[in-house]
Amino acid sequence: MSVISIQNVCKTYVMSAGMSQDVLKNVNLNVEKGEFVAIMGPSGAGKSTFMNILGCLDRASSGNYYLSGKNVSKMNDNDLARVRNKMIGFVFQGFNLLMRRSILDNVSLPMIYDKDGRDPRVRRARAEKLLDMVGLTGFIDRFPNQISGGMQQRVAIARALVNDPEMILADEPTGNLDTKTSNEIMDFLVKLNREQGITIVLVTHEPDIACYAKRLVRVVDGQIAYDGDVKQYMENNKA
Amino acid sequence: MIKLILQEACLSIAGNKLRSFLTTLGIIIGVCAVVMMVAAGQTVQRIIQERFVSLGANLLIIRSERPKANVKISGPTTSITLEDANSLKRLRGIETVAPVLSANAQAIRGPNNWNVSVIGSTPDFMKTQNWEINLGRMIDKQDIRKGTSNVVIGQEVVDELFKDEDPIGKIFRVGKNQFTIVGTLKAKGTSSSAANQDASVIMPLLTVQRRFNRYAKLNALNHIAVKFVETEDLNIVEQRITRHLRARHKIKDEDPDDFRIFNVAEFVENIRLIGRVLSILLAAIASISLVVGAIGIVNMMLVSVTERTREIGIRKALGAPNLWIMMQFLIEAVLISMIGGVVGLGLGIGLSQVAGKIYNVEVPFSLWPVVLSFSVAFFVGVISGVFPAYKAMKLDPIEALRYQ
Repeated sequence: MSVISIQNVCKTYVMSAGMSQDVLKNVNLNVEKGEFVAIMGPSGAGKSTFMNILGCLDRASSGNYYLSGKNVSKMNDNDLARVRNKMIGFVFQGFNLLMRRSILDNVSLPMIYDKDGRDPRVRRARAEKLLDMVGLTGFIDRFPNQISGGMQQRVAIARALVNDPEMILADEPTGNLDTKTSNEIMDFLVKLNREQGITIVLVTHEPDIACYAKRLVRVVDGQIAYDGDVKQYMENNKA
Repeated sequence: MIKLILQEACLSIAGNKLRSFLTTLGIIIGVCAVVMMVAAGQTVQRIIQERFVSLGANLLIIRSERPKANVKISGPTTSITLEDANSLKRLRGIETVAPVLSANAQAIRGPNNWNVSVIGSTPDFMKTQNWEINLGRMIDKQDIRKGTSNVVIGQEVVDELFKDEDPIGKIFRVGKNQFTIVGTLKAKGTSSSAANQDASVIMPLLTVQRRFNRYAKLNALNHIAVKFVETEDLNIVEQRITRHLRARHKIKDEDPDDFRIFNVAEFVENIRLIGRVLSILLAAIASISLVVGAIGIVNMMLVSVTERTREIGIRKALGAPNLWIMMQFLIEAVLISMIGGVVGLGLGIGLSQVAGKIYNVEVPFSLWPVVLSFSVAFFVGVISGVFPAYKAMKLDPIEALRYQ
């Protein structure tokens, strides 16, 4: 079963005075379990809107979006919140950690919104395990502003994985990082994808970063302009 | 879930200690003011009440009342006489009757003098007023019959004229005449009866008639103090006295009474009412500061929502349900308000006890300001938290995440 199955999704923003703008036009996309997909596209092409819909932060105007077989396109806010909580792990450009909370609390955060995460001991054990996995064992009581950007992004990755999501949605995860750290983070995502079979959807505008993925989806002018192998696309489009 | 939200709220409050404290301060001051004002009102009410209740609820005072139509009449200004008083003794339900003829005079002893109220009455007077003898004895029947110059004096008179001496048996002057002290009254402070007990000089009625009063022959009185049997109904006794006196004074049916009956019970009830109104008024004034405190919370919570827009976005993206976000802010507001309520309550009780110590009055501790301030603090928290919490809930996660 596909993790993501998007069928004829359109997104129209209604402006004032009856004007409207079609941002996404009949987009179709299938992502299978264990894939590593990079989404690229020029700014203003609908990339962000597409990502918001993929991340269940926004709803399509029409069309259907099945996330692991579940039709999320008609869900209400609270059901979408539950889907985000259980099925999607977010990794953001700006890390988006809670600054006044410890690393451990940050990683535990998604669990408190889930009925299965009500036991504090379970939460702590799970968060510690994931922090261990991202190599931050000794930092659990630190605060986000006490560790480097690369570490913060690893905390975010641990947080994204804490509820065993169906996929990780990474929105410019290296945008705030230097090249070396960027490569470390990307290597880590690749490792996650390879070793644990975690589905990753990566939104980026940097071709170097997109190259870590296997498959490339280019969104141009609200439509998918390319969907195929990354390397092949890069070969064809060498300037 | 509530426990987790509560934890989150505590962490938020603790994370911004100064701001939380300043916001709480508004509620602290408000609740403290209300508690103190209520305590002040209750204290005043209690003091007044105690003084009046000491007179007894079954006391009636009968005074003369001139018919309004008469502008000026010569002769005695009172229609109440000693005969009236004596006749009342025979009425059913009457326990004690004391005729009272009073005057103001200067008590003099050596270089000292003091303004006193002279009370001419009978031994029964003590029973009607619930006054008690401290030293010596009360004037007795023989004194009454003969109109002797034996007197009983109040504590103030003792203090002013007989500083460190035993006053019993001593002779002093009141007005132009010499009197012998046979007893002293227990000090009671200012009493509510017509006379100030501590500044009183009690002597036989006949003596006052002879030495102080021009209308002695008419046997006129200032008032009659009547104590009725406690099991009797106040209104029935009053009616009985009214009927009796109207008959005695030969008042026609269409004419008004030439006397008036004051009862202490009614008076106490009125005083109690005044005290209650006073308490409510004071509390109402103090609650203005609570309203100001509540506005402070609204303000802080709104700032907090704006400031934490990104946090709200993160939480929503990570799957926080709308209700959860709303509850988090609401509980934070309630918590701040409740903390203020508890601290304000403690401060209010403490300060009013301190004030009580300073002014040497006992401040009552009652439960209802506790209950009141808790519930008020709770509702203030809820009311001032609802709008900001709703605002937080309605934030669009996409917008909120973009917020810098």
